[in-house]
Formats: sequence, structure tokens, C-alpha cells
Amino acid sequence: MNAHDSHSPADSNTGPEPFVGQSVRRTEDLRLLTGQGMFTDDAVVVDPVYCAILRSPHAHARIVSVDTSRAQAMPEVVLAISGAEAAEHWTQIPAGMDLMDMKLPKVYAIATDKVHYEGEPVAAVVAETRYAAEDALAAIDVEYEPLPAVASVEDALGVHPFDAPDGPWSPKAVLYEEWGHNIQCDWAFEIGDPDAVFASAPHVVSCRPAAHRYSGVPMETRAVVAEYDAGRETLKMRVSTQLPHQSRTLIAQILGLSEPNVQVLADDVGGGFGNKTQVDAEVIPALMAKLSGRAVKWFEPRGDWLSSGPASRDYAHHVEGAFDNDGTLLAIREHLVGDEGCDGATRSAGLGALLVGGTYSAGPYHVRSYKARVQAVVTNKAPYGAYRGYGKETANLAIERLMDTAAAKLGIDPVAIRQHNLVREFPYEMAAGPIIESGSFSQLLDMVTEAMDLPALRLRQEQARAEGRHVGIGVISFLEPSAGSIPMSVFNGYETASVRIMPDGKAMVLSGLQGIGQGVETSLAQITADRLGLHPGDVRIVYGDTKAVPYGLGAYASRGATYGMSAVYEAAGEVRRKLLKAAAGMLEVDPEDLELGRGEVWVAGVPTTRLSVQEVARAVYLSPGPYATLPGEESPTLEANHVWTNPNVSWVPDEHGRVRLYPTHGSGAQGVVVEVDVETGEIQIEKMWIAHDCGKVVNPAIVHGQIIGSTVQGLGGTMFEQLSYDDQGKLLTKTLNDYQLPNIMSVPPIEVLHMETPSPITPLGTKGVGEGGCIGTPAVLLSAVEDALREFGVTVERTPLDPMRVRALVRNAPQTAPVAG
Amino acid sequence: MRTTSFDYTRATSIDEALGALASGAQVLAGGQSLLQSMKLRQASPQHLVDINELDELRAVDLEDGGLRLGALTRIAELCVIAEVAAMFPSLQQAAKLTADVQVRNRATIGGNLCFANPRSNMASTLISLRAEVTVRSDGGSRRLAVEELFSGYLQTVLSSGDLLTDVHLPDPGRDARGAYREISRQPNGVPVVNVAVAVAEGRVTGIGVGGLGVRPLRARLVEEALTHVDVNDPRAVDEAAALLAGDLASTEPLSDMHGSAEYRLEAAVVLLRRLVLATTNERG
Amino acid sequence: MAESKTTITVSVNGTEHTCQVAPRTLLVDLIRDDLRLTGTHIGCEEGICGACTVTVDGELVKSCLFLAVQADGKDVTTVEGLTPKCGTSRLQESFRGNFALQCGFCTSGMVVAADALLRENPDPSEQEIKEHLVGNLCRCTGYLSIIDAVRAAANQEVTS
Repeated sequence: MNAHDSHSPADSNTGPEPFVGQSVRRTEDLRLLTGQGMFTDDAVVVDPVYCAILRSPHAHARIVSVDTSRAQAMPEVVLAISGAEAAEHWTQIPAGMDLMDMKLPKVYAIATDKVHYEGEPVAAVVAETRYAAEDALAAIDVEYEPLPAVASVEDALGVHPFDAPDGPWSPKAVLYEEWGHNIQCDWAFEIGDPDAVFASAPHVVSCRPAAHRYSGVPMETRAVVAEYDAGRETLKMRVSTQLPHQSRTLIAQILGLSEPNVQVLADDVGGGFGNKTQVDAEVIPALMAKLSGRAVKWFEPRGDWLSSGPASRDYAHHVEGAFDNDGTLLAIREHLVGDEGCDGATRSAGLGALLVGGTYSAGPYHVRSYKARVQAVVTNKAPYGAYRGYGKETANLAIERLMDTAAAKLGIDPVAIRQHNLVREFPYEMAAGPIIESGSFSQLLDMVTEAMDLPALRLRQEQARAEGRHVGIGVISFLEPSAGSIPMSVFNGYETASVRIMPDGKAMVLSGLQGIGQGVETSLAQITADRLGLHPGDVRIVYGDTKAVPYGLGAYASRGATYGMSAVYEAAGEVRRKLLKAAAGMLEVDPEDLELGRGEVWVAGVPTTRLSVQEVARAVYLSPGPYATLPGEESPTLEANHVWTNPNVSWVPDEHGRVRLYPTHGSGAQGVVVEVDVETGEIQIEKMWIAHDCGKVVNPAIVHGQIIGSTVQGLGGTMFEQLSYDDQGKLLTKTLNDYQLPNIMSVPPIEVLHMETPSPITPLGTKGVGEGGCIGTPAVLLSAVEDALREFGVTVERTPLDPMRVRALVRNAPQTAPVAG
Repeated sequence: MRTTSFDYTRATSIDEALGALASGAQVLAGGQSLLQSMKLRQASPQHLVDINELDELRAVDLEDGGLRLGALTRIAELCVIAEVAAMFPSLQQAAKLTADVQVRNRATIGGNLCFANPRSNMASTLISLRAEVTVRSDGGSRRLAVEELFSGYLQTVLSSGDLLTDVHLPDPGRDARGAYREISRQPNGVPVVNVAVAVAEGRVTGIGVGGLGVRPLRARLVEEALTHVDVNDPRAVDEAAALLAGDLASTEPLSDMHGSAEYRLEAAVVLLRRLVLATTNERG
Repeated sequence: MAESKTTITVSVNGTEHTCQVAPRTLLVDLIRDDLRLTGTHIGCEEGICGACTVTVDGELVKSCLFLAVQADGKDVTTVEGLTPKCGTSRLQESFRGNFALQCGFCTSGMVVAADALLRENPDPSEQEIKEHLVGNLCRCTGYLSIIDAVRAAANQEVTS
């Protein structure tokens, strides 16, 4: 196993400074390993009642009536409520995103007149036990008038947009009558006269890569513990969320509460992956707490998550590339159509992923002519949400499949055509608008192919083919835009930090980030420790409490290393300045003459003239106090706030309609070797390689874990996981038996190679990390399977790669090849 | 979700269990499938009789050159019982691929059969070994072949008062071999399709197939055809294996998102051909 | 119509508890809600994810597929019971040293399962570790660090 070749897991907590760059053991782990974590449902509250939600069995239906009286009469039931009754107490769900003229459904968290997917809430109950609450669901009588189910893009539009991009549409049914059609957003832009370039290009290649529906599926489903204090009109909510502050804003708005009266707490969150970035059913237990006067616990059943949780992917590209004879990419025309389910903007903000997909389809390659059209289509399936990758994997699949297609058509080696087109000079302004601030794309691709020993692999592949075995090799590059900053949405572009040294010389950091497993307590402590001359163990990181932390934006879009770390770095820098100033006064030297580390400050070259940070802190706060220690200082304690923004975000569309939503860009390259059993369709993954560059690495072991984890999610999504519906919009994957998350037997050896190309726009040189494996893995697997099946002449451009579908590719292949006995 | 409410009896004797069953109770053995379906509220029994304390259902004995396994034999035990490893290696292979350690520690061979999952690897393997079960009720006991136990999707021929007490594995014969193989989306995932083959003295003695029909099947037509062909001839074996389509005609094909009926048949034929060639030609 | 309840006596992590439970009460609910040992988690409640893994009389089980009444007279061990009074066990320390957890939700079940493996097989191969942990799903780590952690604990080569 090569998994740990490139970092040392040695405990560095007592190691030398600086702490940034070391695999410092995680602060979080002690409680999590010993069963002392505080996940939402772990919270103990006085005399709780339990919430259960009745969900629609129909994909599309009018609600004729909801009668909760039988449920209400059950002995342990405290309250049963229909959507119509709830609507008297709350507002419709505010949109998580509102830009690009997108259409916004006007819906309540519990449906009132119509259901748009199987799984949409139609009533809710609280009862003395979870068992009684679930029993009561069966006693709620709902009469539905079923409507035709829109189960596909074809159902939604009557014709596929690849065949008729502008219609006319003839929908099977319209989800939202006021729209008159089923398109939530239709966005297009172009630059560099791409049609003219195509008209004169020596080669035009096209392909239609597509991905099925899958999602993040964190191990902890959604969960809420809500307590309402009627006397104070305050609501305290524990929520399993990535966005405590935005959740507070939206929940306060929905319930008509004053925002300062709402506290959202998120201690330990059992995985997010983008899936916990909306307020939808979470508000139901809050309303039940307000109406019942009891503390309400809601811990979503896994089946409810699968039927109503945020879904992702489910898109199709028609992408065309214009190429010169030498393989130079001249222009791209990209048409992306997404099946969003019932909504990608109000209940859940997945629509942005399609916009990102349309923006980044050039990937890490140089091209000056670019045209994109994105159509987001609504159907009668669960809402479309954010999930690790958020459109970057969508873009990657388009460009990487296009590169393979072009390589085959032009007779160029697939690695060579990539190397030929990779961006080499930075900063690089993409045709689509974003500025790639730095990178080493070509070196990353070299790293992967060298680690793979590609020539030896090709030889082995030939030998295998001679034996009738079908070995395939895939190599791809990927771009990993991070720190997404979407205007008019809950995914905005700033982060807050408040850093303070306490009188005992230890530090507290309040961060707007949210811990969801990515180790923010550890890495933010490393940064703060270096700035303040402390040990990471003496730095307390506080997040996930809207009562304690200034308004910040939480965990999404791999933004922690760009926004969160930079905010902490800058705020800690201001505290450092004041700390040194006070110490200089106490030691009667210049601040510039001082050095700071290991909890002490001393005069450079005179190590005996020293003070502990604790002595300075006590002097500043108490004895003698700030008048003496920080005279003339505007804010004379050891505390500072910082809100970090950056210049590479631009959300005012330019004359071409382009915006810049990602300020930092990680990147990488991937390789894989697979063997396909062409008779059964089974795929054996022999080994994967991934070279990754996220700029300055703060904690190598944490970064390593993010890369492996995201790669295995990409693998699971491409091969095993599937949110599947029948042609009536009925969900077929209601348990984890059918929605198969990758298990430990399914993970191949993965070799990770690291490179650090610092970002010039962040103070530490950091870029985001965490999505890379999700971005590149689908494309590299498709590429390898196509390579394995090359003699059959098949195009492999759709996921999932399950045995049935892979076998069908071979069965329906234009050519036949000999098989092993 | 959680289950609906039910009454619970912990049986202390087989007779007590039979009495409860006669009055409408349902058996709780390992519970690994039953509790799952109850929590999904696909099943809502009013009364469960827990047979886990009935040690007489846990016996493993040599019997007529074969083996008798009490119905409460855990799948985990099948993975380690020396006689199983020695006499019925395919059963051990299949046991080790069943779900996971935690589930195998609870799941029982009798419970697995009675749940009648068409993808059950225990069922197809036991069919290939020509295993029989003993079923007891108030009225006495009877024996039937494993493949006769299943009447449809998740359905058996047992009636409400019946208790499956034993599984009988007959003498595997001289120079016995056997093998089990499955296709699933990922290792230890629910099998899409699975095949077990038993061989003695170089001849195929039994073939069981799961995931092909709505109930586990014995591939009688294939077995019959293989008695007439040279099992060293891949083409002949392939032709015989293709008769699986005829065996499937006795029941309804299974088809779902993990495998269409077409794929399942195609894949089962491939597995069958490979297993027959491997088991009949291997050197002891 | 409050359900009829039966009285059971169950030893959890060495402490004997006498509890009133309805027949349908799952062992995991008894552990979490009644005994307030919230280290044992529920990830799917369908017996698939393994987050609720505990041992009953030393045998590894999923406590969401086990009725509380069936634990009557038995010894249950949860992650809390594997944790020393002070600090962490060698296995827990190995998980930490190998960064074998991220969000930590699956971790309790993973630690209980890995601990059971090392008790019966002190020096497992990589394949044996994989076969043993196949019923414990982890969505964050991609498992490789977990395999490393278990091997390191087995080799007593806990980095320190």
C-alpha cells in the first residue's frame, strides 16, 4: 500500500514550529474515538417529543384533503399537523439561490396543495416516543389526485434539448403551473466567436458524456433538536448543517422570528459533502416545537433521506471541440442539460452546480473560443442539491471525454494531447471568465504517468489482450476550483474570524467555518499557533454556534483553506501585532526586535530577556491593564476580528455575461488501471493514482485523507451508488441495500502524489482541497473502461459502470472480439 | 423507521414454539432480514416467538455420510465448522460472502431459507448440494428438498404453524468438489446473480442459481444435459449451461435496477459454464 | 394504549441495568435513549451501515437488528466500554495517529468491530481486516487509513 508514502503520520503535536505544514494529530479525534462526540441526536433535552414526517407516495399529485384527526386522537400523540394547517404559521421556503433569472418554486416545507416528488412532506407528527410518532403516520388520511409524473427530461420537455434546444416544448405535465414550462434556468454565453472557429477548424469532435443520479449520503442523516421558549420568543436549534448562520437566517424568516432570537448550534456533524446546505425539512421540527411547547427531536430515517434528501449529478452534455491538426484545442461548444428533480434553487441549491459545469468545461486546458448553454430542467424527483464536486466533476467529464475522443480521432496519444493543451502560464484568465491564479498542470500529469510507469503498463495491457483479457488504462487531468462564491445565494464569498488571547495566555478563535469532518479545529489551531507563538493545544477553536460566532458562511465549496484560514490568519496577525507591541513596552524594546514562539516572547539575540505570552496577556487585560500596556491603541485588548474577501471574485456579469465565482484553483491528474470481464461486465480496479496540488498544505495527513476520501466517493458514485426512479417517478433505491455506498472491500490501492504550488491570493498560499477525487474519478474510470473495450469499438460515456451496463456495452458493440474461455 | 408493535414470546422448548406458531405467531430467528423488513414496515407481525434459546436447534451432527445442521446454525458458524470446510467447501465460500460479520453472527441458516430471498447465496448453494430441510408442526414433521421450499418472491410453501428445524446435507460423494460464485455491484453487496455447482467424481451432481427467478432455482435441465456431455469441452458445457433459460421457465424471471432479466440470465450462464469447467477439471 | 413492557436486566460495559422495555424497542434505542450512551450511532437503522455495532456476550452485532429484550441477561459492550478511564486505548490511539476518521460518525462502530477482530486475530492481514470490516461503512476516509490503523494497532507500532 502506498497510501502513506507521501506524508508521515507521526505525531507532531510536540514537534517544532512552525506547525503549519505538519501532520498535527486532530483535536477532534479524542472525543469522536471515545463515543463522546456531540452529534445532533446525541443531545439530551428535558422531556422531548419525537417528530415524524408523512411523505407523499406519489411523484406528482394534487392533495385533495389531509385529515390528521385519527392520529391526533392516538394516546401518545402530542400534535399532528397538515401542510395547510402549518401554512398558517410559517412562510414559504425562501430561495437558497436567486440569480441568472432562475425560476423559483413557491412552496412550503410541508406541501399544501400539490406534491412534486415521492417523499415530499404532507404532514407531521410529534409524539412521546419515536415509535408512537411513526405509528401515527399510518393514521393520517390523505386523499391524492394523481397527476402525470414527469420522470425524465424527455417527459419534462417532450423533446430532448440536444435535438431541439429551443423547443417547442410539449411537457407531459407542468410542475409549477405559473411557469408554463419545466425549465428552471436557461443560461448561455459565448466569447471568441466559437461558431466561426468551428466552421474553419480542421477537426471537429463531439461526445455526449452523462452521469446518473447519486449524491453525498453522509452517514448521519438530517437531524434537529428544537426548543422554543415562548416567554422569550426564542428558538434554540441543534441542526446537522454545514451552514449554521444561513440556517438561522432562513429559519427565522420562515417562522417569523426575530433573527437574534434564534440560535443554531452544530457541534459534530456526521458528514456533509454539500448535502447539508439547505433549509427544507429542518424547519418542520422547529415549527412543531413552537406549536407544541415541547422540545422536539427529529432524526431522519435513512429511507426519508434517500427519498427526499438532496440529489446530484443526473446531467448530460453535448460537447464539441474544434481541433487543429496538431491536436491544439481551438474552441469548445458545450450544451449541458440537467435533470434537477423538482427544484434546484429553493429547497436545495443544486442549480449552481450546472452553472459551474457550463463555466468550467474547458478544464485545465487553454482555449480562447468558448460557448456554453445550460438548461436546468425540473422533473418529479427529489430536490437537486449541492454535492462534493458541485459541477466541477460535470465539467471534467465533458472535457476529459472530449480529449479522449479527439485523441482517438486525430490519432494522437491521449496523454500527449492533454500535455499539448494544458495551461502553462499563470495567472490565466479562462475564456469563460475565471482567473486561474497559479498551477503546475503539466507537472502533475507527468507525476501521474511516471508513477504509473505508463510504457510498462501499455506493454502489460498488450500481453493481456493477447490472452483475451481486457485491461484498460485511463489518465486524465482535472481542475479543482475552490472557495465558490455565488452572489444572491447562501453560498456567498467572505468569511469571518475573531481571534483573542485570553488573560491566561491561551487563545480562542471564533470561526464562521463549520466542522463536518475536515479537521478545521486542528488546522485553524495550527495557523493560529504559528501566528501567536503558541502550541496548537493552547488554541481553542469555536464554531457552529450562532450565539458565539460572528456571521460567517460555514463549510461548502472547499472554502475553508481559502476563506476560513485566511480570515483566521489575518485576525491572528492583528492580535500578534498588539501582543508584540504590549510586550515591547513591557521589555522597553522595539516590537521589531522581538521574537515569538513556544508561548514566549523574547528579544532577538537576548534570550534571557523574555516574557511568557501569559504574562503579557495578563498585563494587557488586568494588571496593570490596557492603558499602560497598549496606550493609544484603538482596540486595546488582545482581540481582533477579520472578514476576508478577495479580488478574484466578480459577480457582476461582464459584457459577455461571464462571472468569476471561484477565486482559487487546485488541480491534479489521475490514472487508473482496470480489467473488464467482458462476459459479465464486472470491473476490477487494479490501482489508482492521483497527483494533487492544493497550494500550501497546512496539515498533510488531513489533506491526504481528503484526497483518498473524495476519490473513493467518486468511485462509489461512478460504479455502485444510484438514485434510481422508474418511469412513473417512483424511487427504486429506498435503502442502503439498493443505494450501495462503497464498502472497505471495494477500495483499490490508491497512490497519492502531492505538489504545492502556492496561491498568490491567499496569505498562506492555500487553496481548497476535498473535492478533487470526486471531480476526476468518473472521467478516469470511463476512460479506462473505454480503453479496455477498445477492440469492441464502443464509446463509454455514461455512468454508472455497473456490471449490467458494462455488459450491455459489449453486447451491443459494433465489433466483436474474442473472449477468454 | 421503527417496527410496529408486537407481542414477544421467548420459547423455551420446540413444543412451546410450535404452540405459539399454531396460534399465529411468527418465528424470530436471527432477525437480520425479518427485523429489517419490519422496520421498513413491509412486515408487521402481531406476535414474534423467539427461538434463539432453543439449543436443540443448534446441533451440528454427522448424518449418513453427510451433515445435519440445526436451523439456528449461524452463518458465521458455517464459516468455521471444520466439517463444512472439508465436505462442503462451496457452502463455506457462500457463507463468507454473506453480508458481513455482524449479520453472519446473528443470521441463521434456517432463517435465511425461510426469508426466501431469491438472491440468497445459502439457498442456491444448498440446492446445489441437494440439501433437504425438516419442517415440524403440531401435526408432525416432514422433509422436503430446499428447492421445493420456495413458492415465490419472498414466499415459502410453509404454513403458519410450521417450524423449519434442520437442514440435511447428504453425502457429497467421492472426490466431491463444489464452488460458489456471485456477481454483485461490489464485493459483499447484495448479489445480482449467483450460482453454485456441486461435483462428485468429476460429474456435476447439483446446480443452484439465485437472483435469476423470483425464487432460487435448481437447474435440472442443465444438470441433466451435463450428464451426457464431455465436461472438458467448453462448447458443450456452454450449450448445456444455456439450458438455464429452460429451468427459468418454471418461475417468473427477476428483473430490477441492478440487473434486467436478460442480463441475469446471460451472466448466470457465464458463471455456470465457468464453474462447471473449473470444478470438473480441477485436480484434487 | 401504552405498550406492555417487560423487565430486563442487562449488563452494559460492566454495569448492570434493570430496564423496562417494550418488545419492539431496539437494543440501540435502549443504549442511546435509556442508558444515554450516545457513542453508538444510527446511520441507517436498516442493519447495513454498522454505525450501531456493539458486542453482545463478546459477539459483534448490529444493535439496530437486535431487540432490547433479547439482551436480557447478556453483557453488552459499546465504544464507551472499550475506552480506558483515562485517555484512549491502543486501537483508538492508532486510529488517531493514522487519521483514520474524519466526521467520526461511523467511528464508534468501526472501533468496536476492529477491537473484536484484534481480540480473535491479533495479527490480521490486510485481506482479513477488509473482510472483517465490510459491514462498517465509512463515507469520509475511503477506508485505507482505517486499514493502516488496524494494522498498526496489531503490530503495536502505534506512532507516538
